Amino acid sequence: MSKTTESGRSLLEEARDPDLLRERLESRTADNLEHTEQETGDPRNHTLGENLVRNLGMRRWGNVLKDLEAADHPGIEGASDPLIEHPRAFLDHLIKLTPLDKIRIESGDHEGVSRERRAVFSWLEEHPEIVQDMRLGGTDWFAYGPKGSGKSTMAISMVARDLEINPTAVVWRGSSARSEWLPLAPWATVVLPQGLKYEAVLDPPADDMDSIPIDLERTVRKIVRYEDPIQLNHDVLEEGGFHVVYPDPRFRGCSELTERADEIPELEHVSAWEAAEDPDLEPTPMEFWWFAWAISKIEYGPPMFVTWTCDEAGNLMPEHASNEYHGHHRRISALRNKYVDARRNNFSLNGIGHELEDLHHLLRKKIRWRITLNGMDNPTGQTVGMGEAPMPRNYTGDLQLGEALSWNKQQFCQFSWSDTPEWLKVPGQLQIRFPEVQEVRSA
Amino acid sequence: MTERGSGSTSTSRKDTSGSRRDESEAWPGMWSAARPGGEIQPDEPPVDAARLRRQLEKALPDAEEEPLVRPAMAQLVQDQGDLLIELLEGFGDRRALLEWEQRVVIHTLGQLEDEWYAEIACNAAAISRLLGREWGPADAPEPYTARETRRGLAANSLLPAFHGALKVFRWAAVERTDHLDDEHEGEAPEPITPERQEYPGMRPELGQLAEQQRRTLESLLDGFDSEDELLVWSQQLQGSTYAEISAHAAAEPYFERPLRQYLVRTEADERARFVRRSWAAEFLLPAFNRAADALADRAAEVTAEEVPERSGGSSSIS
Repeated sequence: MSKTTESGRSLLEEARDPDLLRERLESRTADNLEHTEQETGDPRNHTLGENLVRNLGMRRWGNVLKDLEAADHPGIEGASDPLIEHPRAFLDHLIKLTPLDKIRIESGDHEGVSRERRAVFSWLEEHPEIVQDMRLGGTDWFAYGPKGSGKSTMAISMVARDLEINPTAVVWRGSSARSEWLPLAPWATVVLPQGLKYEAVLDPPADDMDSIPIDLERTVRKIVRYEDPIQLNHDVLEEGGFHVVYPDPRFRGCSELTERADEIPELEHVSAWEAAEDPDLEPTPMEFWWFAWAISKIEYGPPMFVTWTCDEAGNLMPEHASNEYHGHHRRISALRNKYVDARRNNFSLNGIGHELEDLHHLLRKKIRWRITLNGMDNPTGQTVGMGEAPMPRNYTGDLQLGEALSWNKQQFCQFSWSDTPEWLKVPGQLQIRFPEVQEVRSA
Repeated sequence: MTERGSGSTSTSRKDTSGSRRDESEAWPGMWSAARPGGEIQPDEPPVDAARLRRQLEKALPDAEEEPLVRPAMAQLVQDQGDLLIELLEGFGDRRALLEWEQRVVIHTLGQLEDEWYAEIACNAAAISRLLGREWGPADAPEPYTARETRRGLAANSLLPAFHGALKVFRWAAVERTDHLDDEHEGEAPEPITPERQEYPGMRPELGQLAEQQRRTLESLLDGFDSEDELLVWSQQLQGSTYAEISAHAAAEPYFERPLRQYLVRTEADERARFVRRSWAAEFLLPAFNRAADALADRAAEVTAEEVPERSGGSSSIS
């Protein structure tokens, strides 16, 4: 892709100049995105996920599968690459199947399925032993590794693969602190709470530069609004779409939906506006909105596959969470209770963090796969909630950047991914803020 | 599906034992008849090449029906299949064997040992079994011995080398995804039928080398009309061997007066024919093989085949 040289300037050069930096961020466009099914509504067109994979310079997954199958296993004579040989370690969490999909595969009738998913189905059709190993419904993994081990790049590759082969709506946890999704901005639907003014600025990489105001409309695929979590899941999220969702500081619908949900206590949410009127109230931290949202998807649907890419999951659900701080522990516990139905309700959680132990053990026990990135030793013995790890020794200690080990309690396999293309990289962090919240808080 | 031929029967270039082996221990079973316990059928019917070719055709995907994503691979596999069947059939004469060897060079991408080529085209016992009749000092072989030898050669040498070549070739083969090009969304790709392709593995570079080698070999086997022609040929020789033939060997035909006299004559003198063919087997084909290996090495740079040490591989999901 010649896009790297389009501007003729180096990334470093652009990083020093606010105007160039803004232009870089706003002017990136994805080739042929306008012809995708998500844009035209025509299911005969290629999907946004297929477009994403192409623009990222990745090969089609059907071809990757075939190549991996032809590759040799390092430890077993005559066997394929471990990723194929041990399907439970990776393929199982990547390929999402419904009961109907299993019938589609067994019968060979792939009608109504996107092209690349069809390719995967055709491949699976020839591998009934792998289909047997695949579990239905939502999946989940927690990926952990030290700073700079490529977690964000991996997450981007995984999002692309997920959207390429699954009819999934990906929801990336938007936060004011981080914007690791920025390379995918040309495909991103930014989902903001209804009725709130926002401002978007780029925090440049250098300390001596001021924040750069950004035209968000130009930067991302589109901006949409939601009323509350249930309405968001039913009416706003789009199958095959990549969504970056920002929590609602008003917490509309959150307390009510948790009150109505089975098997969990009602979770209280206090907005900055409510707190401003009542000196006894403290506003609930905005990121706690996510607990209500996730519970809402599992409890109230829709049945569509939704993958929640939760960056810094250890911050949202830390091991040391207590009830002293806005009922934090209670919220984690409520999500845990609801999470038993996540798989059946096609909800997938892809968590990212620094250490396995950072994630609260209530959730850790529920998450079935782990991804240990390079620079972090994989466990070999007892683990929390998973029994014995299947690895007989440390594999990840000497992995390179861009490599990781995916495992569950039965199987493990190594995998690797490529760097994000240069033209999609933007230095700095994009912040989306709601000035009204600041005003209310300081009033 | 082993990584590559291993053990004592290997003739693969990657075999690290490295030492030049004498005939008796080089390829056990190659010149001997079937191994003990093997099913020997002295009255086996002749090789049904037509049937084998049909089997080959059936195994290959139909490009008209389903566009081949890696037509180059399919082409290579098909060519290799043809070479295999020709070996099983046996050869009409030593020249046909040499011409076959030249195509093996190309379609194994230099994966076999250089000496392998000289060995099977100079050793009287080997030649007699490949031709299925008496040759030089060697008596006519028993038909089943000849058959079993050819099959042994196929299993011990050719198949591992084909496998090695495909591995080298695999990542280098250009994937045809233009039908996935969004601009031509929905349009069926132009079918590329492997048999219509001009070049082995559909690679012009390889095709060029194959053609150059074919002509170089043909000129030598035909003999030259004059000393001048021989000199011009010596110069062309460097191209078809990527200068992998030693300067000494290249000049030898000219300076070695007895050799020169056998090369520069066109009449079908049996002695001259013998010398030309032996020279081709001893010098030309090994040099051809090194040239193909050099070409494959360049492909391998791109493909950078890794043999991961760790359990778990390095399976790129990109």
